[in-house]
Amino acid sequence: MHAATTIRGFAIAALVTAGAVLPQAAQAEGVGTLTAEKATISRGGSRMAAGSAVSLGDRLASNASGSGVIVFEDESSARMGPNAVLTIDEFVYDPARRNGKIRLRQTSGLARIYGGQISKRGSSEVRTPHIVLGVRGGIVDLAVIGNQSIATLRGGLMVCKVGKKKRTVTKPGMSCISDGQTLEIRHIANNGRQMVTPANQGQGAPGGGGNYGGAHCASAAATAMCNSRDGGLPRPGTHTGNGTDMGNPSGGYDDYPKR
Amino acid sequence: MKRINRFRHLSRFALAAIPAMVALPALADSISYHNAFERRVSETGDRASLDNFVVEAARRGQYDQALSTLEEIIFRTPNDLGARLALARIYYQIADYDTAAAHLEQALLTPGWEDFAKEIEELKARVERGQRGLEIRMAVSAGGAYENTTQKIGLSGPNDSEELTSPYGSIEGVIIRDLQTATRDEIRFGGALLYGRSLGDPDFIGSLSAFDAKAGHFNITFSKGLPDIIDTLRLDVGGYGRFQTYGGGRDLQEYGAETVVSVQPTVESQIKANLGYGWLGNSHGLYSDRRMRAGLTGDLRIAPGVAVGAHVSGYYDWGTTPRAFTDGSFDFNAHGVEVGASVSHLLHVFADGRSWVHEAGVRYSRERILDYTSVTSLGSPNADLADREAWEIFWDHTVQIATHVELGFGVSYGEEKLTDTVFPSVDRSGETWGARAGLTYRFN
Repeated sequence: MHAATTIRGFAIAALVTAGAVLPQAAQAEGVGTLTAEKATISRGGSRMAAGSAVSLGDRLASNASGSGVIVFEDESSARMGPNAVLTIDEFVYDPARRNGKIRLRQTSGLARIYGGQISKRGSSEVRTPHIVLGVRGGIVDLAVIGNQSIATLRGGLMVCKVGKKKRTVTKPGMSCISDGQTLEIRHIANNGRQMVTPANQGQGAPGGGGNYGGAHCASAAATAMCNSRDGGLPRPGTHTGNGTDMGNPSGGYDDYPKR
Repeated sequence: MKRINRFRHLSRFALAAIPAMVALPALADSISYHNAFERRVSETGDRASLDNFVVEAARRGQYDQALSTLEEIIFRTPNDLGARLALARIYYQIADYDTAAAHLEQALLTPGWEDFAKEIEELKARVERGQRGLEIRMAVSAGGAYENTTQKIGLSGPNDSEELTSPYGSIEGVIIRDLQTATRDEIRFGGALLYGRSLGDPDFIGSLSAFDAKAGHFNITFSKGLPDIIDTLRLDVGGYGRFQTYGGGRDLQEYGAETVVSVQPTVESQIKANLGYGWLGNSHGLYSDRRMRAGLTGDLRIAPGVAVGAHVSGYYDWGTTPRAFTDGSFDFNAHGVEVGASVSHLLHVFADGRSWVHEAGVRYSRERILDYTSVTSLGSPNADLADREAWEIFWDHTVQIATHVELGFGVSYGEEKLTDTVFPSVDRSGETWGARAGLTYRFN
């Protein structure tokens, strides 16, 4: 009896110790990398350099001229624009299943979130003080300015939640606008241009640059099969069923192209 | 018969080889993509690593990853026109016309843009149409087809073998009007006209003859997203008209309504169910008055550039013949069901981005149809129905030989059997070899 109590005591002590230590260990774990930075992105008041690891629980902030790119382990990324404050609240990723959960919090400024493997299979969520966004296989711009948040779909699919209100947007360019009470969906002309890096007119090496011919859908020869809608991957798909020719009294399948 | 068995063995072997043909390149692609991502993150800012990952991500259809990497390239080198145009193209592919337009504006402010003027102009026109909510696609095809059909009458009857080499042509197009709603609702106007020559037994007299096979269809469809029920749920409802000539004075003229429900269970898959009802009253020599169609199609992308699909479809006809059946009735019902599957593979991408896609598939159908001889022959006492069973395998290739021009070629082999006929009709079976090659010009 005494031995059993002792074992139980050890077990409880071990659980308490593990409970105290594990969250710290998890928080210290790198979940991504800041791959690009322009003056300045900071963490805890210290400026970060490109190549710095980003950990669970980190709160990253850009100043009025700052911008940067964070790439997470599941290949999702966040492009921070001016005055953005972004916290990584949750990140669980199983590379074998390419699934998991990611939850970010943006409390101010501009940012563009690119979904990774988690957003295609698992739960991908971004919270602002006014709105909760679910992202599926897509790209979303978020602007948290003053007393409202504007989430604009750039590709794929997003679900906007404000209290009990929920709207799903599948049309790129449409925005969810909320002050925390109301939820409005509309197109805002010229929205998102702040996130487009301007050409450096008259500076740097002119023209040319990257050649992406090896990827059909990124090349000038891209065809309609490259279209991707509602967060679905582009094709090729199959034409199964397109050549059905039943009910043809002459019999046989026709050879001229229906496929 | 030996020949048919040999073809059966060959087709089984070909179908068995498809998974291996697909799995090995898919595995290699997966390893190469994973390595490219590791390098993209660990070799911070290295241009070759960034470019390599863009290519790998775009090839796999991982557009969000390709875009974020291209954004980083532009972030570092804002005057890189190659990356700027790739960004505009991919934002166009995902229908974010506003961002694509913003990048094209910046491209026109970048030194050296004149070298890309034609491409920028063409993409800008497409993006502007997208912003206006208008998408137009049209394709014109022309080529030649070869068909070799052998038909055998009864169990030991004579063979009738015919060859046919003929031209074919088609024109098809669609206009899509985006209604600018959050759920991407749209109205589509589509149509196609096709001409070819075909071999068959249009008179149901047991001998083959060539006939003009003309076909066409048009449709108008309202497509509505219902994402608040299931996030990718879409409902299409519309009206259609179609015509087709079958030789021997028979033709189909059908007008009807159809509804399609589709959903994407994952980003890599799609399921569609369709149900249609058509009136065939203006058709000639078919004796069917009404037709109901239903089908289920599934499509799954199993690896980068590899998709498998399967379908099951069926129809049910209500008709009336001028001659009575044995039970004294003049009314009949014909029906059929088809199952099929195919695998499509992006076989090769040329250095300038042109693609080569091939698709191999098989389908099998079983029908209970009107025995037309029993209706038209003076020697027949009653109208009757017969059983038809058919299967086909095909292998089609589409090679993009220029940005807007495709070379299409393919081969097919199929067998068909007509049974349960009554005198003066006779049971018969046949096999058909087909090959075709042609060019398609796409105006998009």
